[in-house]
Amino acid sequence: MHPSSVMRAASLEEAVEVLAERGPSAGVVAGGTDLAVRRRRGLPVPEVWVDISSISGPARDIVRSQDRVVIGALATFRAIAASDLVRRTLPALYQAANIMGSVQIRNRATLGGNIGNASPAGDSLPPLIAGDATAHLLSSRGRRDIPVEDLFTGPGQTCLAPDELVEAVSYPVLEGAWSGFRRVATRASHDISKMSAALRATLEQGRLAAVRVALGAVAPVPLRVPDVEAMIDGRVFNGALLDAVGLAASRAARAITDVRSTAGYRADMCGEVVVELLESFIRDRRDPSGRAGLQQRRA
Amino acid sequence: MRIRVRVNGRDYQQEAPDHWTLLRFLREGLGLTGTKEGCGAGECGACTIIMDGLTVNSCLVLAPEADGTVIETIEGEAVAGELSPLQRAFHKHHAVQCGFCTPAMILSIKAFLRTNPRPTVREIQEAIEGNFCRCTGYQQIIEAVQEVTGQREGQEELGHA
Repeated sequence: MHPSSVMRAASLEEAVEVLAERGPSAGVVAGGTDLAVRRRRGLPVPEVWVDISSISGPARDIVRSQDRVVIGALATFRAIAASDLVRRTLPALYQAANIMGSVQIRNRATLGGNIGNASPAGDSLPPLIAGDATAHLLSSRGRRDIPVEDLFTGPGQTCLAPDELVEAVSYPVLEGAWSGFRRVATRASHDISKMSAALRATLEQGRLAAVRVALGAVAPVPLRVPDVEAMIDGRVFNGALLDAVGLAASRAARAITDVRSTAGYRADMCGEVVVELLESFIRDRRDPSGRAGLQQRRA
Repeated sequence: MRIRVRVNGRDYQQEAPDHWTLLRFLREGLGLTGTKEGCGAGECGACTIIMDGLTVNSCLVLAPEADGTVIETIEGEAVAGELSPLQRAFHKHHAVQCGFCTPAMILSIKAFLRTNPRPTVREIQEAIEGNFCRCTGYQQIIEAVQEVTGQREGQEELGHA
């Protein structure tokens, strides 16, 4: 399928006006790294493409606003992967942005697009959910906020209205918090995750706190796993805890078997990867530069 | 839609259907066939060009999205029939076999070296992660990059006989 026409919007406000006028036959395109692939594969795409890729200003910015970090929907993975602010405040997202796609894909792909595309394997999604991020939505009817964890309803499906788009994402800056992202894929780069996971936590008087865990590519949607979080929260780190957490994370997976992996392998890896993240957290407390995670995965 | 672009320092204005990709516009609209189509889905990187200073898969960019941009393609590399240093290094190190990935590979490396003029081997590998070469095994390409960055002093060239 081809788009019959492309309209270039000068602002997100203009884009949502067009979406409201044209109805469900219109859709936004930013980096095009998902939509152009859908088109190539002959999958349904919007008839009218509202191109927002050339919009500049706050829609692309990554800024600290009081106790939150706000990332504009048009911020590219390249920008996030180079952001010192994101590296310091949500390393899990920083790490995911650095390994997602290829150089060329990261130069074009946007955070808003990764959310809107709603792939269960979207690499930015577990870090955003673990980081307690909120999506700020815009339509011609106004604005509303939805926690990122509540946004997804199925593969490629979100609760966004047809005339609504993601304007920005924000997450709280939690002092002393650690976060990390891991993924399992066949290739080191330029691959789609077989599964992924992100963990955020703090350590208070030797006890784990403020724990959030999210899994990718093991359910129809990126999955927050409250059972696993509850098991970790308030506990002292030890081997017995790791064993229990690994088992619980594997059980939390609702994975399927597809071209990339099997349900069983994905479930097993959930346990392995969440345990590895917890271990990395404790190790990084002794290497507070926060870089160990990234270097290890790149190595 | 009428597309205005500057490609390799020359201004072009041309009508193109909205649904054309930038790749198709370059090849069929402007006749610049040095940029190749491989997978057409952002996987292989054969269509890589530089748009406003950044490498992109031109198969994933719609022609209207490129309106008003500054583009660099392989046709801008050799000047007056004289190969660029990067092209000469590719030649010397046998970094070209079938040649299909080469235009894009050159563009990816060109953009990369602007921000990282003395890269490590790992950094070179990461810089070309989005460019597949099914002939060389990449080693000769990495040697060619090290040649232009002056990092191969005292190192033997691999035997390619």
